[in-house]
Amino acid sequence: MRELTRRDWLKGTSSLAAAGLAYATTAHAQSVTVNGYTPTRENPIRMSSNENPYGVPRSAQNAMIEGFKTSHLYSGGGRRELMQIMADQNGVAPENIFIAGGSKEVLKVAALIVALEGGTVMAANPTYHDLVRYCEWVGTELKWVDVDQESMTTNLDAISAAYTDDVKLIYLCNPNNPIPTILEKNKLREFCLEMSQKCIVFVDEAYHEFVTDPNYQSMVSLAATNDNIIVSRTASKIHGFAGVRVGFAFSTPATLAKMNRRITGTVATPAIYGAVAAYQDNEFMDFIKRKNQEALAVTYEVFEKHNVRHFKSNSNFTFFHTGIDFADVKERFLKHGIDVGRPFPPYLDWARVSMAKPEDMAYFAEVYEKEFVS
Amino acid sequence: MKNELTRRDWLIGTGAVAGGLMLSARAKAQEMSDFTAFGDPVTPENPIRMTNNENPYGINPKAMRVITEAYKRAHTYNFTTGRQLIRVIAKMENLPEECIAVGAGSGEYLVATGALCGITGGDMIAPYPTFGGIMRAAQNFGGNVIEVPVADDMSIDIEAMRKAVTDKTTCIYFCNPNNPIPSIIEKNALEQFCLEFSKKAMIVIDEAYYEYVRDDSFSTMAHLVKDNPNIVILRTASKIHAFANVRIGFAFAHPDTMAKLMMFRSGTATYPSLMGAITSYQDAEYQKFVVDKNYESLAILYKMFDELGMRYVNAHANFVYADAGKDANEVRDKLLESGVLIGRQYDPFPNWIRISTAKPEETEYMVKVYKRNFG
Repeated sequence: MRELTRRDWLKGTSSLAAAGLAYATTAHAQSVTVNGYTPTRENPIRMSSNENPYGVPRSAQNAMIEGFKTSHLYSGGGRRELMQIMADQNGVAPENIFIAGGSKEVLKVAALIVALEGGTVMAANPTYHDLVRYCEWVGTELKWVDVDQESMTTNLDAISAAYTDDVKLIYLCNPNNPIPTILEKNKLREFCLEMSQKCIVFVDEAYHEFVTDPNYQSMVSLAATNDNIIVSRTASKIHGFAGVRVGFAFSTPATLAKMNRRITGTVATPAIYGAVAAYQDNEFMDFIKRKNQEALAVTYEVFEKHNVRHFKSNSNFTFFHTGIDFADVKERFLKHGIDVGRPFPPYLDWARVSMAKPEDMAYFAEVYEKEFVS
Repeated sequence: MKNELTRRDWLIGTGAVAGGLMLSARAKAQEMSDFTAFGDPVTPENPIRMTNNENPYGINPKAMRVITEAYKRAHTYNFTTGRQLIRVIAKMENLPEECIAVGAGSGEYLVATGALCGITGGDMIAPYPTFGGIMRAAQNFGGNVIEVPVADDMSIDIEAMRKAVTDKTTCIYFCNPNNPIPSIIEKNALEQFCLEFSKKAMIVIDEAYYEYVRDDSFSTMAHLVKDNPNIVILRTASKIHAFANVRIGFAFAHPDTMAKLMMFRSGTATYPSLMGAITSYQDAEYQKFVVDKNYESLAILYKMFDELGMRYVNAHANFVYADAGKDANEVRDKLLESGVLIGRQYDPFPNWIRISTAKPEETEYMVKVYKRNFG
C-alpha cells in the first residue's frame, strides 16, 4: 500500500486526497502520522477535548481485554490493588480514595450533595463546566468570581472576599481549564485550610500529571485529613482513559462514605485492571509528557511569531487570543480538518486548543498562519 | 493407589459414586479436576460458580472482537455510542428512543429510582424476599421500605401489595421474574395493577431476567412507559449478555421521568462495553444458545429435586430456589468442599437454597455432589 506522507497531502494532490478520504472514516487515531489518513471536516484531528492523542497504553489495553474474559462474573476484582497503588503514589491511605466512573461521577455527586442539602456553589469564571453545569441544571445557585484580570488565574482572594454564609461548596480546577494556569501552592493550601472550616473546597486536579511548574502542589494530603476538602483526579487525560471511565475522589473516609451513598455507577472491572496497569506504566506517562511538551513548544512558536496572547500551559491544552468570535474560529479550523475546543463565554474571542501529536500541532500552526495571519 | 474417578464414571453412575460413599480428599480433588474455572482446575478456592446468577458461557465472542477493537478509540470522549445502543434497544422494544437510557449497569437506575422515590420521605412497597438494591437506595435518600411477604406458593402476593398501599406510598417495586425466588407475575394482573397504582405511586419493575422467560403468562411492562410517567422498567446486560463485570444496564421510562432520574444518575458506561453491547443485543443466536443451555441445566436440577422429593419453585430465570430442608449456609459450605459454590441464605427462608445455573455438565456435577452429601 502506498504510504501517504504529510508532505503529500500538504501539496494536496487530488488522487491522494481521494485515497485519504476512503480511509478517513475508519481511521483509529486522527493524526497526520496515520498512514492514509487525511484530516477532514467529518473526521478531523481532535484538538477539542483535551484527550491523549496516543491512545490507551498498550499495557492497559492488554489488561482490559484480559479483564473482559471474566466479564460475566460479578467479581469486582482489582479495586483494592488500584486503591493501594493510588495511595502509595499520593502518600495517603487506601481509605482516603474512592474509585468512580470518571472524575465526572465525583463532580456530579459533590454537586448532588449540595443540591440535596441546599446552598450556593462558588467557582472561578471561566472554569471547567461539569460541576457547575449540573448545579445550573438542578437549580443550585452559582456565584461566579472572575479570574484575575492581569494574570487570568483563579482569584482566590476574590473568592474569599465574595464568600457568604450560604456557600456550601467552592469549586477549583487546578490547573484551571480552559485557562491552563495553576494556583500557587502555599496560597492554595492556606485557602483550603481556611475556607474548609466554612464549606466544602473541591479541587479538581484532572491535569495534575501534566504540571511542570514547581509552584504547583496537589491538595491530596490535605483532603485525606479534612472532611471538607475533596480532590478529584481522572485517568481520562495522561492515561488515555476518556472513553473507559475511571476517576478518583480523595478525602476522609467519612466524606467518601457520604459520597458513596449518592453514587449510582459501578466501574467496569476491565477498566479497573486497565487503570492498575496504566498508573504503573511510567514509561508511557513519561512519553506522553515529553510529547505534550513538544506539542506545546510547536504551538507556542506560532503564537509567539505572530504576537498572539496565549498561556504557558501546565496541562495538555492552551488558551489563545483570537480577537474574533469563537464560532468563526472553529469553522475556519474545521475547514482544514482540525477540531478546536468549544466556546468559553465570556471569552468568546479566545480559543482553547488541545495538544495533539507534535506533528499535528505543526499542521495546526500552518493552518493558523493560513487562516489568521494575513 | 490411584482412584481414577473421571467425569465419564460419574456420568455412568458407578456404584462407588452413586453409593454416597465418603470420598477421600484426593478422590474429591481428582473428581473436581474434570472442570476448570478461569483456566485452572476447580477447587474449593476456585469453584464452579452457581451463586450470582451469572452467565456461565461468558461474553458473546463476536462482541468480544468488537470490544478488543474498541480499545483503539477508548482514549476519546464518546458521546454517540450510547445513542447508537439506545437505537438498537428502541427498535427491539418498539419504544421511542427518548424513553430509553443506558447506564453503567441497571444498578445505576435502581439507585436513581430509589433516590427519586426515597427523597420525599415516603414509603416504598416491595415484595419480601426480593432483590434489595433499590430499597437500600430509597433508605439512603430518606425513604422507608415496607416489605410484603410472598404468598404461600412463594409467588409475589400482588393482592397483599395492593392492600399495603397507603397515602404515604411513593413507590412500588417488583422484580419480575423475582429473585431469589424465580417466579413471575401473571401479565394481566400486573398490567392492571400498574395502570391502577401508577396514578398514586411510581411503579418500578426490574426485569433483569426478562430474556430467560419462556412462559406465555409473562409479559414485560415496557409498553406502558410511553404514556405513563409513573412506570419505570429496568433491564441489564449482566445476565444473558454476560456483562456483569463490565456494566451495561437500561431504564425505560417516560421522558419526564427520565429527566428526573438523570439528576441522580452519576455513572457513565465504558465505551468498549457499549460497543460490545451493540453487537451482543443484535445476536439472537448467541442469546438463544445461552437460554437453551439454561433450561437444560434447570431440567437437570428439577430431576434431582423430584428424585429427592424437594420442594422448589419453577424457574423463569437462570437460577432455582429449592427447599433443602436444612440450613442453606451449611449446604453451601458442604458443596463448596467439592468445588461448587451456590447462593447464600436469604431471609425469611433459611432452609431454601438458591442455585444459579452453570453449564449443564457442571450442573450434573453439582447434582452428583449434592446427592452424595444430602441424598
